[in-house]
Amino acid sequence: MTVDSFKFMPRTLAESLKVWPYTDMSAEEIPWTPLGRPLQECTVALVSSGGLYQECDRPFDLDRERREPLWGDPSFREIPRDISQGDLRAAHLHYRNDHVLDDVGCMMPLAALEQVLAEGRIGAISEKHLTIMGYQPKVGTLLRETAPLMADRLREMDVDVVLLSSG
Amino acid sequence: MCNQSVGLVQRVLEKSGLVTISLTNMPFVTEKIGVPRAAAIEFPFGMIWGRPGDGDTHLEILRSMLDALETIDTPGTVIELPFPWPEEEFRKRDWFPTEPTPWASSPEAVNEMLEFIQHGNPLE
Repeated sequence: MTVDSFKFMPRTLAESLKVWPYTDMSAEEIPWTPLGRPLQECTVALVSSGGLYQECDRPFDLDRERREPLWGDPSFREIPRDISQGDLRAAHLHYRNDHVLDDVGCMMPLAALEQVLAEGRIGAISEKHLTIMGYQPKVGTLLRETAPLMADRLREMDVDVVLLSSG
Repeated sequence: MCNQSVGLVQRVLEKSGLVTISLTNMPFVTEKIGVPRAAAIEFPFGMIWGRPGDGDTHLEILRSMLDALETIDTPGTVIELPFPWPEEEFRKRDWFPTEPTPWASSPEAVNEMLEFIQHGNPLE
């Protein structure tokens, strides 16, 4: 692996993250669902951990994180496929929000997804994409409550394929 | 930490019958969590698909992700994407948050975090 995981962070943060108590999943097999049909027939959704939300929706709770720095809002939000740039908001204290507020494509490639749909590379795009706020030192609620709800929501929208990306 | 959160969500989605792939800029973490399929890229937080306005890069990464989704056949595979973050962009150092991080905002908060790193339970 030549990709340097720590290139863009200050040394103190990098040192912390090297010894971080990550969730140990080694007792459980890595799940696997085979791609059962051609991608050209699949409905695709995006999931971002950038703390993105719609202007009319409830923001991720940053005030509580400011009061309790080991807590991160573990809920999820929905982003319409055709959201306008002006309706996009970001609530995440661990990266500079300005860039995604200029262009959602930095964290959710909505235009690119429409392009590959137009080319016939994928079958359809989900009406809604999902977002979380990825700063979660304690992941219990995200893992046990939020993620299963996200799975239900995606299957409800007949999604087959999910492309996730981090903050 | 974002990459841990994404990896854990990805595992739950895949287990529920969805086919998933993630884009990670911390393969160090993604490999520890263990996800069905991932693509690693050396891009900063907040711009993991590329800079604002750089639609060509967003599209190229998306195409690579779709290709990888079709070709990866072993759970836990993390491929590397060959897109460099240009040196002149690196010098801008414009990806850091504007507000001080809460966990680093006071000596008490730092101590609390250090205590968590040494003895905390991430599944809490």
